Amino acid sequence: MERDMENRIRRALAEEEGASEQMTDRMIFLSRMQWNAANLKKRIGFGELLLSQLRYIGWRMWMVELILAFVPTFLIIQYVEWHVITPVKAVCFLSCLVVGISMFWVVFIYRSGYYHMMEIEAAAFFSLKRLLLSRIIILFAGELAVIAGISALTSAHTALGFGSGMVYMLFAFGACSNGMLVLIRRAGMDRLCRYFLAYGVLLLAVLLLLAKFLPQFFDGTRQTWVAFGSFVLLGYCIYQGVLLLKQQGETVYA
Amino acid sequence: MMELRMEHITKQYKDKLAVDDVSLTVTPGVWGLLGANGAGKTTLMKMIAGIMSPTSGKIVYDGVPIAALKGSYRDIFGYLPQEFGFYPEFTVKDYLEYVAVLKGLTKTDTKKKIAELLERLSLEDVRKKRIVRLSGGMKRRVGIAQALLNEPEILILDEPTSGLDPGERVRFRNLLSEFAHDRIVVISTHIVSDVEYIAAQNAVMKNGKIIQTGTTEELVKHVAGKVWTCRVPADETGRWEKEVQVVNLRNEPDGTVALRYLADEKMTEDSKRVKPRLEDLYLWLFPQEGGVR
Repeated sequence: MERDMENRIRRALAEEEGASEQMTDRMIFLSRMQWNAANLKKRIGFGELLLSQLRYIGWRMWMVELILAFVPTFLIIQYVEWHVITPVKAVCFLSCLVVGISMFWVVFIYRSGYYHMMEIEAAAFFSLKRLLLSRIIILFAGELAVIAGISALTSAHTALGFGSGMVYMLFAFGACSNGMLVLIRRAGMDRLCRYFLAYGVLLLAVLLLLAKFLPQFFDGTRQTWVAFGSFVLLGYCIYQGVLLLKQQGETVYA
Repeated sequence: MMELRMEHITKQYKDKLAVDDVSLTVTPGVWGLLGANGAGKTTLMKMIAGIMSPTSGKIVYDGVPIAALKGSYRDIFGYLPQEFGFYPEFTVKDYLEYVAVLKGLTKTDTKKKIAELLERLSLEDVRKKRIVRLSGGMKRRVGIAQALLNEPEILILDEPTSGLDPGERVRFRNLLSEFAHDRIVVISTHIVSDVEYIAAQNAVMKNGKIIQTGTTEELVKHVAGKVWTCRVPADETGRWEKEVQVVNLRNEPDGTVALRYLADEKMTEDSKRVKPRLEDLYLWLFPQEGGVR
């Protein structure tokens, strides 16, 4: 803010009865904040940042997701006798596949750190958190398409219905994505990779343990509850995304 | 006048105090932050850049803490980290476009600014080349270009000239002097000549503390009367290096060696007192960085 303006505010308030030094300082502080906000140069919005990330990183993410999802699914459909795989195993496999694909996101964060880009990315206008959010949205979009694709593929070749496949995969997707978003919001960027890998492994272990000790969870009898859970998780996912978008002040990554 | 004020900044790592109660007010112009490796310069730079939070204390820009300024602080800020990073698949143009997006520049501004910087930093011929294939000096220039993309009011450069050849250093210094007219430029370095000619003010850091501040002329007064030159036989240089802080050694055609050394009193009758330079002060403060004391 111009020093001249500051002096004018100070003089004007000095003439007012009851305006203390503290109040004057507070007024000047708020005026400075307003001045800084009003003098921002013309900048692009989050939508444009998101689209730009498609060019730089998005297509790579989608290619990796496609390969990771369809190669194992295709191989199983081609070479495994489906009567060997029970519905419980099939659903558990698809859920684990979704978590596995999400975990691949770690590679893209790690890449930022490995190539020493994180400092430049963190010190730029868009905070590092919003940059990561843009990448995570791209990953999610790809993953949702992949989930729909795999559901269609498995329903065409097996007794597993399209809806059933979708519900369970969305549940795993919701659990995984929410974990990622919580970690972006709460954990330091220098520890994000480790924490997320640990979370992903924990989630995979839980899914496998569920298949072994609580097979009812996957056999379709509780599908309505799982669908409800998926719905809640996806809703919370969107809520966390909005919170992250609002965290424009978060610069610090270490 | 715009100012960046550090108020009792401290950064404590687990068992190390990297920055110890630093208070400094930086105003427009080039500021040199001098210090040996491990003095805490990079940690301080990161805190000024807002990518590392201080353990205690605050950094205030124009009366407002940078934590409260949020995105508007980053918008007026340019930063070149010590380890300049880039993705290996990026060409120079790709890279600058990528950083321009992160800085929120519109497409029109990006195009205009990139063209201008490529020309100013002599990078036009390599704009389509992958950065990984460029020389160290050119990579550094790309780093400087990315820091200038958003026309920052505060420019923080951490060891900006490492890898630049002498000609590039001169061009870089001129560019910064021109740029710093009404902006704050902070250069952290242990290469004294980088800041000696262009820094309006200097701050010297040692063991996490700012131990000296002032103009080059003010700072060198601390070693005034302690810088000497003399000529000695070539076989005696080893002994001299053990006894005093030798700043410079130059072999002369007559077989002797011209010495520039630091000492409270002259070591030989024919030693002449000379005008101190910033490099002399630096070696006086950081003897381990130069010859043997």
